[in-house]
Amino acid sequence: MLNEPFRRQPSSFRDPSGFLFWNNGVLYRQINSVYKDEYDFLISSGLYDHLLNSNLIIPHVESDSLAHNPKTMYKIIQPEIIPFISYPYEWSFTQLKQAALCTLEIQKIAMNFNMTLKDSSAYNIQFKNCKPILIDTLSFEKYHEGQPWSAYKQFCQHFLAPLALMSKKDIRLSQLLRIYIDGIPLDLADKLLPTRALSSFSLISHIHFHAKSQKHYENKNAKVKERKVSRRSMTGIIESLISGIKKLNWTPEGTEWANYYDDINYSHKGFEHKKQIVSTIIEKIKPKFLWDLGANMGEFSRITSDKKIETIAFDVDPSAVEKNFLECIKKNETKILPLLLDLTNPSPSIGWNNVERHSLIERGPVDTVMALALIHHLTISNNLPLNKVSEFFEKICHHLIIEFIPKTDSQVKRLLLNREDIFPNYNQENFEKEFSNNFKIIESFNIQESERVIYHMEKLSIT
Amino acid sequence: MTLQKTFSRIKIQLAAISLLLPGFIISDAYAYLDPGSGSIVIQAIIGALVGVGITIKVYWEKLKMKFFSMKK
Repeated sequence: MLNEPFRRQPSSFRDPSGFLFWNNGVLYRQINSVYKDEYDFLISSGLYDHLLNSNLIIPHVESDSLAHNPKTMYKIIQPEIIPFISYPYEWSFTQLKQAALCTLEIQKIAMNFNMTLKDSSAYNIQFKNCKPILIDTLSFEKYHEGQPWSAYKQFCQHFLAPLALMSKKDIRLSQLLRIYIDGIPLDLADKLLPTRALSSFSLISHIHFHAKSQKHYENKNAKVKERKVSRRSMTGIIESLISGIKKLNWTPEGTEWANYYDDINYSHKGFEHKKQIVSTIIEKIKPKFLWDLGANMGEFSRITSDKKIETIAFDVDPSAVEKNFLECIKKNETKILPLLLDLTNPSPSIGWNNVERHSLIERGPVDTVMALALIHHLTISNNLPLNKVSEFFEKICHHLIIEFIPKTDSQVKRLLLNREDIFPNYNQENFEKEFSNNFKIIESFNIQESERVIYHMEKLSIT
Repeated sequence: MTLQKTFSRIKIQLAAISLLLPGFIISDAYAYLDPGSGSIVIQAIIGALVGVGITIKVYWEKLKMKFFSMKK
């Protein structure tokens, strides 16, 4: 797909300033003539260099690549590639908070250079080396004294409302971003937030009164475009948003898997052996990219990220993802990105024409998938037949590192404790048989002092 | 005073401030997003409030500086 000549990026169509396109596997951004003055000012004012030096904007080079649409073209730039595009509904609390503060920091700096963000979509922020960065170089316009911030509503919907709901109501409300692609409607956030949340100036003003004002003006023909927001007022609004967001916090409880490593049917020796097996297989595959599915707090993901492999550590538990990300910050890690994902209902394609935001499968396949201590959750907790699991893995990877956990394991026994065992086919022989339809089993390793087995498999179609 | 009454009072105060705000034509920038009428109005109101806060803070800091320099 990447090697097609001139394929326009399906998510890039709203802003007439330009658009992204692929040409023979390289991503370019066309800048349209209508955006010439703004782009030139971004560069000549020194704003771009300032943001670049602060690691706040994606680096790009101007390119002499052929234009996708020469009639409207001013310039073509080639932005640096982000290894994995993630979406706000896949971010932990602190990831979304960092993305929000990054956006506000950029807006503050832009104003010092007489520019302003004309949009503040959370989708314009990505994580590069585990740190938030603006990827839309065309997000700026010249600032004119008195103009309101046209991206204010979008900022509140994309960042403030979800963060407030996650912090003050329930962490799982971040998933509303999957339904509302342009951020959570403020009247909905206002209804869901507990009354006590409105004791905060930023929440009562930027969410409650903002929602009331939207409601008041929704069917009125009032011309409000002339309203003045002075530079000082604008600075005050940005500072108020920064202060409000900094005060929003969420403390992850013990994770779903908090005591997991204490109850895993293998000894310290077995645990170390498991790490060694994973490391050995990784050394053989030498992948560039790896997805660790069911990564928990990233214990095994770090085996691969420490080897400079771009590693995405997915988990369904918001606490595990949050703790994993906090660990990344603490250790200043750059090769691991923790993300929230329910594998039984992975991120779908959403937005206009169902192509604006990609599904998990569309963002693959990846060199290697690691699925350790996962198969029993898919098969037994979620009633997924082994052949379905194997078919799914075949779609998303070339190499698979997968752990089989027998019914005699305490973790599987726990899952079957209060339900009927309707899984007569869940055994090692059948596991190997079903996976052999899609994969070639390269090697298998018995974990010492345990009944668990780790397999290295390779997709059949590439062998 | 109940929370409801407090909110109503703040609403009246904000409405009063909004009426006092001056308006003038802003030059058209190349914005493609609809900023939303209600969002523009509330921005002007909150902006005025926090702008006043910033002004007071700046003068307060200046006053403090002056006071301490006199003491020295």
